[in-house]
Amino acid sequence: MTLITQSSSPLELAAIISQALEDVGLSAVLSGGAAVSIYSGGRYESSDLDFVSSEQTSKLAAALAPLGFTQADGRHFEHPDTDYYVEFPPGPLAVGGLLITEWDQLQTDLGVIQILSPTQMVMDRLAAFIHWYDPPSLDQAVLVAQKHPLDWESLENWVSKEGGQEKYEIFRRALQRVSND
Amino acid sequence: MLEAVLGSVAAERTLLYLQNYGEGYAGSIADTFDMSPSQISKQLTKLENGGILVSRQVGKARVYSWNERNPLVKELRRLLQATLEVLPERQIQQYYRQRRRPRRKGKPA
Repeated sequence: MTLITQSSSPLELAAIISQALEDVGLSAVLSGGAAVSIYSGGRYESSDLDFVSSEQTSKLAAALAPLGFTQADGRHFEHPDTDYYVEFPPGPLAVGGLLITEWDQLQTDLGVIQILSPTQMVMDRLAAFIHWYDPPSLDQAVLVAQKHPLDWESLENWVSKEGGQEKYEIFRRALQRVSND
Repeated sequence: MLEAVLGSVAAERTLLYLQNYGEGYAGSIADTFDMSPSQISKQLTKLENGGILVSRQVGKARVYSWNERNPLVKELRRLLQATLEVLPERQIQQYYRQRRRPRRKGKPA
C-alpha cells in the first residue's frame, strides 16, 4: 500500500483515495479545488479534496481506514501525515442545473482518479461565478481552460441554460487576456 | 479611472465593488477599501435615490444591488466591467477577489 506523507501532492492523494474506494466498489468523483489544482498543474492550491459521493459515510470510513484516515466530523476525514482534508459532499453530482452521469478517469502511477472533466470543472467554477458572483471561481475556470482543450459546444449550451451569457463573455475575455500574455 | 466622471473615489469604488460582487452593504464595501462606512453609505443612498441601485434589509445590514429595471443600468455596468478588466492585477487581487462561494459550516478553511 502506498504511504501517505506530508509531501504527498493532491494528485497523489486523490489517486490513492480514489483507487482505494474503487477497489471496494464505492463511487466518488473528485471535484472542487483539488480538481482545479490537478488541472492547473498546481497553479491553484487547495487545502482539501472534495469527492462527491452518495455512498454511506460508514462505508467510506471503512474504505479509508486502512489508509490511515479517520472521520473528523460528518463526511470529513483527516490523516495524521497530511494537512489536506478529505470531504465527501453528498450527491447528486451536478454543475449548476446539469446532472453529471459521466466523468473522466485520470490514470496515474498510483491509481485511477475518478474526476470531473476539464469542461465540467470549468462549468463548476463558472456556476459559482454566474450564480454567486465568486471572482476566485472565475480565475480558477480560466486556469483550467488555459491548460486543457474544452468541449466548447457543450459549455456554451450549458451557459445558455444557466442564463450566464454575460458572465461567460467575461470569462472568454479573461481567457483571451491570459492567452495573449 | 472613473473618478473624474463619477466625481469621487468613493463613488467609483462603490460602483466597481457592486459590479464585481453583484451586491454589498456599506460596511463590507468600506472594509474592502479601508474607507469610512459613512462615506460609502452616502454614495449608496445617492445611487438608490437616483434609481441606479435598490436595497433590502438583511438582518442588521442594508444590502444594495443593481436596479435591473432601469434600462441605463445595463449600460453603466458595461462601462464598469470594462474598467474592472483593465485595472492593474495588484488592485484586482487586493480588492476584487474576495470569496463569495458558500462554505459549509464546520468545513475547515
